[in-house]
Order: sequence, then C-alpha cells, then structure tokens
Amino acid sequence: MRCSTAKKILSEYIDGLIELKRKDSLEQHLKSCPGCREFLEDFREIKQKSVELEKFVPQDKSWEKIEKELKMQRQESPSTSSAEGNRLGVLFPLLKRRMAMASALILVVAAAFMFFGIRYRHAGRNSPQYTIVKLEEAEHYYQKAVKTLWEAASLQEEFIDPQLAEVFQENLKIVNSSMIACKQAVLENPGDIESRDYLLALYREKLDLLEEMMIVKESSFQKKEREILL
Amino acid sequence: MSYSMLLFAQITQGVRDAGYVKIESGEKFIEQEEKKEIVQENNEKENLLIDLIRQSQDGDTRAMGLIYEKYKTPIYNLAYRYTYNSAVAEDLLQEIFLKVFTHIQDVDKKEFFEGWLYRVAVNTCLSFVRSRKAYEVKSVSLDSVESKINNQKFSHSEKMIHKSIDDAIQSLPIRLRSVFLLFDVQGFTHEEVAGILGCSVGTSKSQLFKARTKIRKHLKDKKIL
Repeated sequence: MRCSTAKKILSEYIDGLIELKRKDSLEQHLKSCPGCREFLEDFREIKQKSVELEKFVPQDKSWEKIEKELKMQRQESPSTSSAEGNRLGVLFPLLKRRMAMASALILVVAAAFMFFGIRYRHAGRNSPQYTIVKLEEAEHYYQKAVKTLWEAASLQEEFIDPQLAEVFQENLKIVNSSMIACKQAVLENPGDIESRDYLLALYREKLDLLEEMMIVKESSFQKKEREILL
Repeated sequence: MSYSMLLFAQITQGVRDAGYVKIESGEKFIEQEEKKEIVQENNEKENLLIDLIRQSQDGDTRAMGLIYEKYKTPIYNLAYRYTYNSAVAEDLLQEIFLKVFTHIQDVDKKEFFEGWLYRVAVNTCLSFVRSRKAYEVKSVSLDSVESKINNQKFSHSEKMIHKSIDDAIQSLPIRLRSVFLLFDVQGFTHEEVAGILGCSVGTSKSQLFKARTKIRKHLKDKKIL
C-alpha cells in the first residue's frame, strides 16, 4: 500500500469504520512506515482532544427570553393552527415590522385607489350614494392598515426611548380625538363627502405617525443589535 | 506419574476449568445484564423525550423547558464554535430554540427530533456565519467565558492543545467545520452527520478527513504535535 492511499483511509481506521481487508493491508503498511504511523498518532490525538474540548453553559436568562417570546407568540395567536404569521413575527420581529409596513402600504394603496377612483367616477357619474359606498370601503382599508401597523409598532416596546415614546403617544392621542370628532360628524351627516374626506386624511395622518414610530423603533432595534454583536 | 495421580490431576483441572467457565459465564451474564440495563435506560430516556415532544406540541412550556435543558449545552457549544463569540452564541441559541418550539408541530416522527434539532441549529449558525461579513464581530477569548462545565484538570500542555484545536477549528472552511464539530466534537455518526447536513455519507467521511488533516497541519505549524 502506498502512503497516499494509507493516509486517506487512516481517518476511517481510527473511527473503526474500515473493512477488514483494507484494515489488514493498512496495518501491514503501518508496521513498515514510520511517517504514516506518526500521521495515525496525530489523528488519534486530535480525535481524543476534540472530545475533551472545553464545554460552556449558556446563561440562565436565555431560557427566560425564549419563554417570554413564546408567551408573546401565544398571546398574539390563541389559535395554534393559524399561527404561522405570528410565529414568524415572534421569530423575526424585524421581519414582522417590515412585513406589516409592506402590507399596510398595500392597504393604503388600495384605499387611495378607492379614494381617487371615487373622485374620478364621482366627477363623471355625479352619484353621491356611489361615492359614499366607495369612501366607506376606503375607510375600511385605512382601518385595517392602521390596525396592522399598530400591532407591529407595539412590538419591541423596550427599544424606544421613553421620552420619544411619550411624544408619539401624545400625537396619536390628538389624531385619535380628531378622528372621533370626525366620525361623529360623518354619522350625523352620512352624505357629507367633505367630512368623509377629512376622516380619510386623518387615517393617513395616523398611518404616517405609526410608520414614523416604527422607523425609529427599527433603527433603535438595529442599534441595540449592533451593540450586542460588538 | 502414577495413574491415580494422573486421574487426580485431570479431575482437578476439570474442576478448575468448570470454575473458569462458571466465572466466565458469570461475567458474561453480568455484562449482558449491564447491556440490557443500558438499553432499557436509553429506551426510557427516548420515551421520556417523545412524551416531552408531544407535550410541547400541545403548548406545554414546562416540557419545552425540559427539552431546552437537555440540549442547551451541546447546542450552545456548537453555536459557540461557529462564532467564537459567547454573546452571539447566546443569541443563536435563543433563535434556534425559538425556531424549534415554534415549528415543533412539524415533527411527525419523534425519533428524528434530535437530527431535526441539530439541522435547525446548524442552518441557523451557517446563516449567521454567511451574513457575518456585514458585521464587525469581535471575538471573545475562551478564558473570558465564565461558566465552563469541564471540571477535569488538564495539564498546561493539554490546555495548549485544546486552545490550538479551537484556533484550528476557527480557521476551517465552514463545510469542513460543520462535519468536524458534529462528528469529532459532538459525537454523531457519519450517517447522522449526512442527515443533518443534507450530504452523502461519503462526503461526510471525506470532509472529516480533510478537516482533520487541516487541523493536524495547523498544530504541526504551531509545533503542538
């Protein structure tokens, strides 16, 4: 047996995985080859020392964090079978926020399409009932977008500066109270397209605010991540 | 030697042989019993794990905690030797177990759970290592990690070898490192390694040979071997 062939099968030999026939001829070769014997001893040493490599235990708080995330996940999705989206959200908070932003954007685009579509058709058809129905649909889309962004923005609360969070909350309060007043006006006068327009503008305002909040949170989150890594 | 003496000698030898047989069969019996106990113990452990998996699938966090306790150290050490950074290894450990418990419903064959767990672990570590180029990761020295569980006392030269093997592992290409960590450090078979990494048994064997050869060269260059 040549040294090159012997060296190739030495690894399997020390693991006891070599066939009897090759084992015999390898052992014959080893008897007469000090170079391959040295190779064999080195491999044995590496194998033995690798098992003995130092072992470390993770910190206890790791499980606490995992448990906390799992609980959050359960709260978000009481039904385990339909939990896929939320699972992803817990695993990748960043991804979830991005997805939420993307889906909110789609909803806003849908609402805007309704809104401008209405104006175009309204000018053409001049039918107030049709306009109101479409405005209601746009409002529905806005509501969904606000809900999606609000859920996503509520994640990773700890990454935001408390003072900044307070400012956001104050602004949200103003927008919300304006929306309540505007909804009241729409309820009192369902045919008033101007107050409906104003309501939709407030929805857009709220969405912008939430989006801004998420961008701040995302950059704080990334900063925090970098701090951990460095 | 007279006939009676010869007969006596034969009888004595016979008794002695019978005694040996007795002792030998006794030892074999004990050995077999020990083997049986080990097999039984392993089966019990396996059944316990299957129960824990089932309970985890029902959302029992206590069962998840017990699975975590069982695997946290080997998985943490695997993640550590992909990154050589204790803080990052902690993060990876959390990410791995979150993935595992989030998708534990997908485990149909519970006997394959361990392989699946390691597959999730290796893939998570590989994704991190591949994306690491974007980050400036400072390596934390082994000595700075407080909670070591190796209580064995090693001599200075043995410690040097361990440290050098760690250095050598760190310099291994990622595929070779995976095979080496799973086979030599974690103690999996080639069949299991192939299952975890999604490669053939032959690839696992040849990559292990390459990994060991590279480590040997590293240790030779440092005059450790």
